Amino acid sequence: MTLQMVGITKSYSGFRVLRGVDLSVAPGEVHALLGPNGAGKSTLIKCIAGAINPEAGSIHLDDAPVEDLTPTRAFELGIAVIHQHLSLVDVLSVADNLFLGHELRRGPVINRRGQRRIARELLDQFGIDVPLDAKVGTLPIGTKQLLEIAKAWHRTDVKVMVLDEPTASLSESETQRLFAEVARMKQRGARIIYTTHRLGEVFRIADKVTVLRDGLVTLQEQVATLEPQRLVAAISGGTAEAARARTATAGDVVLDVDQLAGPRFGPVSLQARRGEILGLYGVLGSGRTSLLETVSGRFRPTAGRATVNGARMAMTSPARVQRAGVALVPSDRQRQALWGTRSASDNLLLPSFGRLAAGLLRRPRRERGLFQRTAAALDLQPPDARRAGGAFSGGNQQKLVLGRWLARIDELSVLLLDEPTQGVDVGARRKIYDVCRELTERGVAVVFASTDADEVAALADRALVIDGGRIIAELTDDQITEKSLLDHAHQFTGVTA
Amino acid sequence: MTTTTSTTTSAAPASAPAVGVKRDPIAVALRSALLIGLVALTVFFTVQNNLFLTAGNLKNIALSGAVLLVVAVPQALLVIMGVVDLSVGSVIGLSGVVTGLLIVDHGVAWQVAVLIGIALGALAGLGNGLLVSFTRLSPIIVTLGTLQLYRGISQFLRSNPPANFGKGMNLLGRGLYLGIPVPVWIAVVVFVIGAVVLYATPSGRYVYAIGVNKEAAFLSGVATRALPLVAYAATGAAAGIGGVLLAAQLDSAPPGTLGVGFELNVLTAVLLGGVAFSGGRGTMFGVLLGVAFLGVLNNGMTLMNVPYYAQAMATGAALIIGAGLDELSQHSQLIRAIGRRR
Repeated sequence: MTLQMVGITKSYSGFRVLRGVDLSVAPGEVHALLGPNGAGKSTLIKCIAGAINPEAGSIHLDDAPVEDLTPTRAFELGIAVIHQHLSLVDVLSVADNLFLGHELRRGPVINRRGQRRIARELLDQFGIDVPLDAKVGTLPIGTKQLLEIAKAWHRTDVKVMVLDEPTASLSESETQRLFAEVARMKQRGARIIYTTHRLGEVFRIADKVTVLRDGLVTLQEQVATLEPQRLVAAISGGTAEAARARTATAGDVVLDVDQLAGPRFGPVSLQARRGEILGLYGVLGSGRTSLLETVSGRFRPTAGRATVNGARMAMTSPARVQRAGVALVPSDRQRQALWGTRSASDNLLLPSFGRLAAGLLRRPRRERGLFQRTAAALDLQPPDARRAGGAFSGGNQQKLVLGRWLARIDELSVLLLDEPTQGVDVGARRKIYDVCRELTERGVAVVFASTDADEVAALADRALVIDGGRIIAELTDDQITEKSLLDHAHQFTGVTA
Repeated sequence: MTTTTSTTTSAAPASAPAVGVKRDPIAVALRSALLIGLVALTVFFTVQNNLFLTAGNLKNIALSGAVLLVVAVPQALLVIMGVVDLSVGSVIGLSGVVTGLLIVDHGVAWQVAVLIGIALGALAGLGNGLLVSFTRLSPIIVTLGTLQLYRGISQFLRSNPPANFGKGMNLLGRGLYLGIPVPVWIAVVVFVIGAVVLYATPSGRYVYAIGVNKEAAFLSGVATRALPLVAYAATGAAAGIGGVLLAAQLDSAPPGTLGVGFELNVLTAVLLGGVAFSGGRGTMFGVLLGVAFLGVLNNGMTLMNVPYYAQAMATGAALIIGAGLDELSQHSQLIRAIGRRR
């Protein structure tokens, strides 16, 4: 009575991405599937979902062989896959989304009342507190994710639930709610396959873990007997991450934000110093993205001011703000940062083309030189200037976005990063951290926002906790621990007994 | 093929078989479909009609294609950026009529009248650009509106066509320089400028960046309003040049008909040339091929006395087939998969 995959093998253009992978998940088991980007996780999930057929190997569900799987067939069998990119329609209501394509009918018309009744029950069951008529586009991503799960849950008798990076953009409280839901599905005997880049979650929720690397299983073990260091080693293929050394030798104030207010945040005052990494920790919807995007010129502030190196900064457009020496690495790579069909060179050098040009004309040799230097500094893999941006792994896409500003380091005073390692594998994450430190050593102030307390604890020299659009706590040096961040964000402190 | 991967170590090797779309022969064949079609068409017409491959007829093709290319080059920049100018036909009319009436009614020197005509075109284009960049209106709505508006203005300015522009205009429209018609020279210059802008200036990169992901371009500091604005003005100026050239060729500028329907010919050439209507993709060479293909197709069919309705059908079919092949070339992996299954 399990989901059993044996010897799954798959190649793309002669390149083997899965090389005889075995995986079995028993009912009521949460199985974490881990590995760096490009390890074959997505391919394996596509095999389960029927999106692709493996060349060799077999899949059994409840001892019955599953052959020639298609997405529709998989769904009928009770295999539900919740993707990172959700399949909800933003302009439709919650109720309409839940029934899209499978509407309840009464004769030729949609049975709206029936739909609303079932939808209500479903939302209550999953603890999703939204009006049925709310447009999905207006909801936070965590809620959308739960909706997606609810949608799958009511449409089929879920035997296998695959969650692909479900917590990538969830806040801590949303993650907790998701985990409660996973625990419930588990009790009802679902087999749950779960991918994540946040290793801490494995110990919170998973029963068993499989690590893929280069298409091979490098670790398969019960979580109960697993030590974190070994897990990290299996994923990174090397030794575990060294303990961080805080080198807080902060200098003058570079960025001074004074009583700034904007969409969904403020007033906020903060200062970033030369040579320091300032972390903003806050749950999703806490206003940290709005704050960073406003400082970067994306939105106009409604009040307050900001100075850079003592000079007042006009926050009217990203171009203006960049001329003042402030740049942003936005949180939503696909939508806000990447040109998927354009070359790596275009992706990396776009803000530099004007500076590299002689008069009106581009200088290809200088462009190639800058690309190679920056790609080497970032360890871009592969370091191919002509490869399309979208063809890189998530981690390397992020390097391209980060590299845009690394390439302009001479003009850079402040680098803002929003969720700098979202959907990024362990190796690339370490590289991004290294680059942030290098930037500070070269006199840049780095300000990053993260919903991941782990990340803030690992990277920040100083941390601000944001909630409700305001700064509610400041932590320095040894105070910056995962626990203290979580405590402050959920306001477990300050409550006097 | 697979044995080489067994030695793969933890660091992804730089020589890993990149799934390079560029080297995919199916994609290359599909992308070259227009060129192959153009060659095939030329061979076909040459065999069918001995008047086709003559110096005089080639000059006709070049002359008819010249004005189309002049307008298609900046239009392609707009379409790559994800916007479009549907008003070019009426801008051609407006510029041609104003140039004509300045010469005929007001005795203005033809050189001055031509410059005013082109400047007026640029102004008309600037109007489109301002409306598109600084309102939330769709470029299709804006330029469909100005298509009517600018046509109305030409007809308001003069009800009957100004004509007989004199020697200077005749030279501009039909004169030869080094044996090649002047409009063709102008088209060559415009094409070279367009190619240089797209490939050799930073702005060319911004054009693609805006077309592929405007939000990312904006956040990266690209002038996502100013650049389309400039391109609209350039398209208007190019349509102004086109209007002057057409008026010069006809030696007349009929306000009701000069340039009517031209916007659709331009768009057909641009899209046939592989520029994606959704933006983000296209080449100047493709646009040149698109213009050449349309020119050869129409000229050849006219020589063979193919009735107009059949020419229209052939042009329409060519556009749909061309766009279809181009779409397929973006999914060559899919074609391979289908091929394997058989």
